[in-house]
Order: sequence, then structure tokens, then C-alpha cells
Amino acid sequence: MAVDSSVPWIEAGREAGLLLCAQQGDVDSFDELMRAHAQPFYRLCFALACRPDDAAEIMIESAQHAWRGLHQLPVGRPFFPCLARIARARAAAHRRRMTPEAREASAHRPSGLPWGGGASDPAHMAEEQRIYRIFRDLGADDQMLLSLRLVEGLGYPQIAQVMDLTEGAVAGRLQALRARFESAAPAEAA
Amino acid sequence: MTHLSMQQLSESIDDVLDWATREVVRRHLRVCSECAARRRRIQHVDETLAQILSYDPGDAWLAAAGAEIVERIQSGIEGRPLSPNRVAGAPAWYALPASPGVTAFAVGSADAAADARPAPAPVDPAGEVKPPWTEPQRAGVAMPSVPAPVPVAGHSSSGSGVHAGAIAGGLAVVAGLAVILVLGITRQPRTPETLQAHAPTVAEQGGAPKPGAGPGFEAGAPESARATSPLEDPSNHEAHPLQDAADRPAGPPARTAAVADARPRTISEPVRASAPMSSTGRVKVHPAAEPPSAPPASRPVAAPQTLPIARRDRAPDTLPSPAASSVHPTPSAAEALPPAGAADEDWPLLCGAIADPTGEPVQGAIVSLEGVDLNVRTDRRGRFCVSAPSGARAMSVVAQGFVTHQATVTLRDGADDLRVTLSPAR
Repeated sequence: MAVDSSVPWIEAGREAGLLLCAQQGDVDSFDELMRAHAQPFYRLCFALACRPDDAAEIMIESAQHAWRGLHQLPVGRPFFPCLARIARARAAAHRRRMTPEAREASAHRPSGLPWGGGASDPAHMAEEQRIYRIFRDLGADDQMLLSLRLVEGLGYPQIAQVMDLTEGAVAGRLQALRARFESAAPAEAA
Repeated sequence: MTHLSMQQLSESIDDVLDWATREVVRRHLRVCSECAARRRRIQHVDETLAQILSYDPGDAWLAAAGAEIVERIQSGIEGRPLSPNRVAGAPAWYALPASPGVTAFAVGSADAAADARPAPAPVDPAGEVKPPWTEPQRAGVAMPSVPAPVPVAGHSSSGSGVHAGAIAGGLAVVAGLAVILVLGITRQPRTPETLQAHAPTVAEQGGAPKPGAGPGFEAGAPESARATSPLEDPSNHEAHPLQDAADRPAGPPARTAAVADARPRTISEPVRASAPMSSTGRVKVHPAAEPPSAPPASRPVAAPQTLPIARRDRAPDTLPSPAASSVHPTPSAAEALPPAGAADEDWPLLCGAIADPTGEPVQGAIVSLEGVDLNVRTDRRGRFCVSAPSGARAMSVVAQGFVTHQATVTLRDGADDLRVTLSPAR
């Protein structure tokens, strides 16, 4: 596999230096670390929360939690997997607190855009909503896996590193998830 | 005809099949329309999901969120919702109407925050709208019908819960002050002499596995100077809630590993927690009397900092010649750094690059310094950074397939950029 196993959003040596400074209490280094990972981290939180405002809450809480536990992260280990796992746990806890009504799909995509990308094709809109409902009902691990693969475009080794899985487990889970989406497809589409 | 399995289709979409299997799949898809349609459907689901989940809040929002994170860390506030003032330039989704049945989130948009100002004033049965505060609270005067409170302990002004609460609050404050006073007496006074006497022992208590191993330790420190009480242990945060609040207002818990605690540190010294990073990348340690950090409001939100770590990372391709097998500093890097003295209490940062005899960077080499229980691994460019107390230290570089390299390096301000070339193992 030609994909590098390191997480690509920040240079590893630079990350190690910033992490070392942050572990010794330097808030600015932590800020620098967070800014380097802000976009992918927000996108991950967004996928986990399925709502922008909840994603913001999870992102900020996770960052605070990461700061408190920063001393436990071995130097040399990448920062993003630690952040992602915290966000996953936070999202799972957040989901438990959500009311069933709040989990219902609204008239908009999670991003606020109308379903179907603004197109007037009702079949397209229904298809998007169907896929989104299946995704919304997945567990946080599966949502995270799909987000890292489909949104961030990470390879199997990188996903395995972030999620602390083996590459085989990543491949197996992706197959199972795709099979699940396929089996839930309407009969005419299948 | 045997159709393709989901494993083959999925790995074909992700392009992780080996060459032989990829050829088999490709040829099968050419002749099997059913598998080709199935593959297209899977790809369509992937693309749809990627579209749904892709959302960019914008750089302005992310910068504001980053500033909010730093502000919360520095102020130690937990669970406070994102300040609406922070998101004045809120992206469009802030103004989205809430979904039916969805409770409003406190982050909200600036507009939503403006709409959600004070709760509706209560209406009494007579139809008169009452203000949300009581008259005495607003005007700061006592109600005429309530007698003046008697500020004597043990006497309760019946009929006035406010006054009883005030007395109870006062007692709580007095009790808190007494606890602080007792703790302050229990702890050693923070005079420079006391701190100097505690410096080596605290470092030993910090979890250094080899007491006295490094040059920063004094193995013969008197036993009386050792901090034996749990309250004297700076790493014991459970026993030191007040010290936590006083000494470490914004930082993470002090590391029990040698990275943070092998350094001889005085008890009252700020644990580099609130020390800001200077433009040279060194942590400025404030004197105890100074405030720990600048107020968050004065903090530039979007101004990125240029750290010397990045500067040291320049010229990644200029690795040493194969002949060089010793550690030698780069003069340009040393000259480029500012003179020492601005942050004498900081550990210098030692960075460098490890390469093989052909000049290729060695990834995953373990660099360790004597007396510091810390190993760092080189990245894919063979680079590493480590921070340790100043002075000469033996450094060893271990990498698979190479002879262990040992050399003495001097850590000092104006950190040198090391170039190490490893010899292959035989």
C-alpha cells in the first residue's frame, strides 16, 4: 500500500516539538497544535455530532480534555489520534443525552444546505436522506471510520493509526458498512 | 459466473488491492454488468456521504474557536458555552432555524444570542409584568418591612432568608480563609532560601527513575530538605487543590515522567504552565510576582506564531555527507538564534537530523540523552527535537540496521542543529 502511515496535517517533527512544549505547559504551543488540526478535527466532530452546533461543543470540550490529559501522551506519538478518540468518546456521551426528537433528520442537511444539494429531484433528495439516516444511526466508531475514509481521504494505515485498529480491521469494517448501506437500499435501486 | 465479493469491491474502490487481484477485478468488471453496477452504487453512496459530511465552518470561525479554547484553558472555565461575542462573524449555519423539537444550543449565533436575551418577565395574576429582579436587589436598599439585619453569629434574622444567607456566606468565607491560612502555615514559606533548599528534592520526587543520575540532581541532598509530606509533593494534585489553583492555573498536570519533573524545580515556580511562548520559541518563565500570562482579551487571535522549531526544520534535504559520522552543530543555526539570557530558566531545545551513509533520513531512530528519561523517535525526515536541562550530555542514537551512535552533546541556549550519520550494522 502506497499510503504513508503518518497523519498528514502537520509535519511530524514540528508536531513533536510543539507537543513537547505543550506538555510542559505552554498554551501557545497547544494552540498551534490545535490550529494545525482544526479543520480535520472539526470535520470529524461534525460527522460524529451530525449538527454544527453540537460539533462546536464537542470540539471545544475535546480540546480542553486533551489539554488536561496531554501529559499522558508519549512524546513522538501523533496528536490527532488522541484528539480523535477524545472526540469520539465525547460524541458518544453527547448522543446518549440527545432526545429522540433532536436526532430526527430535519428539512436540511447537517450543514444547513437543502437536501439534494439544491436540486429539485425528489428521488435524489430521498436518497440523500436515506443514506444520512443510516449514517446517523451508526455507532460513533463507524461514523468516525467513514468520516476519516470518505471525507478526509485517509488510507487504511492512517485510519488504523487514528482509531487504534489493525489495517485488516479497518478494511473489514469498511466492507461491513458498505454492505449495510447497500442492504438498506430500496429494492428498485438494488 | 462467480461475482465479486464485497471485500473485493470495497478494496477495489479504495484502491488497496494487490496487483494480481486488481487485474482479476478489473477484468471481471469489464464483463459483468451486475458487479459493475454494484460497484457504482457503492461509490455513489460514498460520494453522497462525503457530500453530506463535508462542511467547512470557515477560517474565521475556526480561529474564534481556537481563541475560545485557549481562553477557557487559561481561565480554567469548564463547560462554558462558546461566547457569542467570539463568533461575531459567525458562518451561515449559526443563523439556521432550529429543527423542530431541537432544543436551542447555547453556542447559537450572534443573532440568536441577541434574541435570547433576558427571559420574559413573569406576569402576576393581576396581569402586571414584574421585573425579573426584586426592588431591594435592584436599588440596593432594604425593604421597609424587613428589620435591619443583626450581623452577629448565632442570631438569625427571622423572615429574611437573604440576610441568613449572607451570614452563612460570610462564615463560609471565614472558614475558607482559615483553611488557606492553615495550608499556608503547613507549607514552607516561599522565600528564595526555602525554595533553593527544596529544588533538588522536588526534582527527585517528580518521578525521576534514577535519582542523582543527571547533572541537575544532587544525590546528597539532606533528608531534612526533602519534601516528605504529600502536601509538599507538587505532583500530588489531589492533595493540593489550592496549590493547583495557585501554581498551575492553566497548565496540564505536571508530568510525572522525567520530561517535566527531572528538572530541578522550585515549588512555587510556575510550571511553565502559563508561560507564553516568545517569538523565539522559548518559554518565558514569569517571576512569581508577575501575573501568569497576558489577559486573553489582548491575545491576537489570528496571528500565527513562528517557532524556531519550524526554522530548524528548514532545508530538509541538506543532510550531511556520508563521511560525517559525528555530531556537529550547524553554525548558521547557532548564529541565527538570539543570545542566551532572555530565558535562562528554560531548557534548551536540541534538534537534529539522523541520516544513513547515503544521506537518506533514518525514520524511527531512537534518540536518548543521558540523565533524562526520555526517548524520542525521528520522523520520516529523520528529524527529532528534545528538550533537556542545559549542559553536556551523552547522546545515543539507536536504529535498526545501524550501529548505535554515541556522542556528547552540549545543550545550551542558541540550540545547535545536529547532524548525525549512522554507520550500517554488519
